[in-house]
Amino acid sequence: MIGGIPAAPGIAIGKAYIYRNKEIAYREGPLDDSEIQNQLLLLTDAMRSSVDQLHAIVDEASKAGDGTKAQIMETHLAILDDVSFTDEMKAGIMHEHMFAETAVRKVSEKYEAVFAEMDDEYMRGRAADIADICLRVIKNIIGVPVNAMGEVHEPCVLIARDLTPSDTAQLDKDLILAFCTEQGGSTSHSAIIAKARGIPAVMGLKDIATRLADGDTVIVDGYQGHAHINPDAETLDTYLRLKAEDTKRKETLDRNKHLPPETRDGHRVTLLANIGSVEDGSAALENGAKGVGLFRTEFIYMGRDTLPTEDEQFAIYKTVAGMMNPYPVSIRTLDIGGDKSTPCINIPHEDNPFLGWRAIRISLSEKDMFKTQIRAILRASAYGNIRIMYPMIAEMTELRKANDILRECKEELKADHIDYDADIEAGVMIETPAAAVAADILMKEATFFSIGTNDLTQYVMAADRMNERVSYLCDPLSPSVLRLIKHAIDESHKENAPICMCGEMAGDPKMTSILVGLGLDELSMSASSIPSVNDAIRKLSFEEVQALAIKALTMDTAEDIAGLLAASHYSDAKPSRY
Amino acid sequence: MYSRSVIVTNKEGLHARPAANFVKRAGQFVSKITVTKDDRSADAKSIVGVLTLMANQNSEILIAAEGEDEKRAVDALVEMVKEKIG
Repeated sequence: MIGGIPAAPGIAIGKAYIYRNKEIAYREGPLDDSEIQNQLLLLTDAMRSSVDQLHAIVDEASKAGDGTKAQIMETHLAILDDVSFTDEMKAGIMHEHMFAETAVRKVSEKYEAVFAEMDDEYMRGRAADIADICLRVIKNIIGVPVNAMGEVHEPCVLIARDLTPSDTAQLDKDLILAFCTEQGGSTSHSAIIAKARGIPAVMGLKDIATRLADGDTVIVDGYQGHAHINPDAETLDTYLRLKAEDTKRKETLDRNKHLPPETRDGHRVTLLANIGSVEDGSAALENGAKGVGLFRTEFIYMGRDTLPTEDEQFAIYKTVAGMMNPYPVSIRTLDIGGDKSTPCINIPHEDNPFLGWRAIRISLSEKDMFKTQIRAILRASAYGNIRIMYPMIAEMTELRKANDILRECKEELKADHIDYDADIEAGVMIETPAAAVAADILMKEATFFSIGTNDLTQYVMAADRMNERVSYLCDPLSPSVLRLIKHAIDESHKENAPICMCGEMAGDPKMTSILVGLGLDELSMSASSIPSVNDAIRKLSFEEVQALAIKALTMDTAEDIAGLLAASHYSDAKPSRY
Repeated sequence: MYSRSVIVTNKEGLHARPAANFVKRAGQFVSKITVTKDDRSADAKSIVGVLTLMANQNSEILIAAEGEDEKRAVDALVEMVKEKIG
């Protein structure tokens, strides 16, 4: 058995397919003069095939309404269309007598280096585009399949060193039973996509790609984060049984997902969904969400060169508000920076982007951009139950500035006789330790709180959640994190304000007992997690989990608290115990 | 040979979409056109070349052309940069 990080729940048993960029044998020159013409022809043919492939991808993406993907592939086409770029490849063949694939690689390396050195996050990212395009051309020259997934014809377990979010988004759910990677963690974008698509996944499995061969049998346990290679009969038997139980459990969850999320002793919790697009909104309703606890608006801004207009944003917010009405939709204002960037906002390179210019800090200094978003949200508020949520607030001054801008926008709309909800709620995301500690101060001018556990945990623990060496510290059950959560809940309840949690923790049924016990009123999560959290809540006794939470707050370590949760008799509510 | 300098005014600089539009326009002329920023020059018809110049907002670039439509080419591109490319 190999242990890794559970990234997306579920159990799969199947044959391994190892996704690797097959070693390409680059032929050494020099070419004979007589070969030059042939190599030039090979290159031109490969270029033409690459252009055709890219056009096909663009068409497919546009049809599927995936504008981001289409735009990226169009950039690739523009680069292939660059005569002086491709002439350098031809020059390598003609003047340096290189084989076609080697000439392409040389030009690729040259420009990758140029882009990689640039003092701009966005431009550095273009190095990957150059590498991607050139690899496509090289594969077309040599005649190896361009899309490694294209070799998969029967259901299998995908094993890779790493998968990009776009790789994950393109996985064929009928063929890929589960996937295992060496890199990444449970909060990476690939994990989030895997969860949303319902593909079991385990990440952070050391050396897995080299420890097995194509066709080996693999068991993937996405609950515990385990992978078993060529299991013995006994293990296989156990997992076949677990898999059958898992399927049955999912069917039961599916049947019960519209039952109210209420504990056995009648305490009601509101279950909301985290969404990033209008499509996510329909999945939320299907899974029984009673509103949206977190609408991530950065996806509206990402992958484009110009800022989204007020009308464009208004149309999106209005659709979601109408779709959810009368349930609430908490729209988080732009949270860009940190690990997220977009070509339409120039964020200079920073050594510590997570401690730098991000989220509300950008919005407050780019006032015009912020006002465009606030006006769009306000206009949409006339069509449903919208709440505004400010991300990354660290101090009262920021909240006041944001609220001043909100007031200014309201007055402008009023003067123009445009409808909006005059009593729209504006709340604060509790993501910085500063905000959590000062919850009592912020509560004076915020109408609600929403705790973002991923960021809160990494800031409290001073540990980058993407850094595998320190990610062990990023445990939201750490006593320091739990105490801050408790403080925010208490301060908000003193003012009778509701408090929500919208981090990954909220969607983990193993955590449901303690979160309900701590007194959270609302839990917001990816739509696919709602049925199992609902099921967990329905098995709890509020009185008992309140006592459990009090006990947890007296414990010394995250491990102790995890042990307490696992040992409690609610464990049967947890999928990790089957 | 004809050349003019111009300040890049649009927010994104000569990157991404604006760079692509600039290159497309340059491709409509027969003259050989170069863009120079600081000590680096690039073929104005090459998207990769233009991108590598890193011409951000407020940087000064020199557009030079040689050929039968050199004046028209330079003037058109300078106008385009002045008009924030679009």
